[in-house]
Amino acid sequence: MSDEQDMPMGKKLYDNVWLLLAIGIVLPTLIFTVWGLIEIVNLPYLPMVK
Amino acid sequence: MAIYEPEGNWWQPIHKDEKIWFILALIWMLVSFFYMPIQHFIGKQNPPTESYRVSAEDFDGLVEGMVKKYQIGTTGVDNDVPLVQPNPDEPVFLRASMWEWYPALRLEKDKTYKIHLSSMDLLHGFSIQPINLNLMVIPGYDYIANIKPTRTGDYRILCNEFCGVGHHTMVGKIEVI
Repeated sequence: MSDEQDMPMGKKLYDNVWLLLAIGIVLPTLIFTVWGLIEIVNLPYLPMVK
Repeated sequence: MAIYEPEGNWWQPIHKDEKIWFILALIWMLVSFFYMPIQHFIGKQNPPTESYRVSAEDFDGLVEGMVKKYQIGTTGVDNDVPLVQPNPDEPVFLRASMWEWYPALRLEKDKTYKIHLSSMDLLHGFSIQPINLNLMVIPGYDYIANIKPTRTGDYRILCNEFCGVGHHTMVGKIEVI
């Protein structure tokens, strides 16, 4: 138990494969896909078209 | 997940040499990261990201309006298209379609033009040769390239996104006077 408590944050993080998987999926989805979709949806129509 | 996970407490304190390398790499990474936006302004290499949505019909109307107003002739060769000398104070429209850049442009040296690019059908690539400027031309979207020609001469616009059997014939023209 004391081993568990002394464990550094880095080891805890790298041992948690499911957390790493979640970060690896969620982060690119937000930064590339979601952000890109928001940009496309909010693009205005060419103003000089009458 | 590794096949054989390391046993026990595999974590070791970082060695001093490794720390130095890590810090050096981190510093260089940050320098490179912050230099990217700086280069955007001082390097004048990246085009601005001004873009709009536009339908093919609306964009085509703007192209034809400009051609009607500023046509001075035709190219006579290649894909025979109108030759247009637009006013630098007004937007310039360049249409990409299978397999033609329309119209040909005559631009004045050292004047800045706002060139609107859009595609009528599918993805095309706007590539000015031999100066090697590359932009994607996307149907349904208008992308604005601010171009200031600094040398006179004839330039070719090539399509650099494969767009079908006539892709290699999709050659346009810009004259700089």
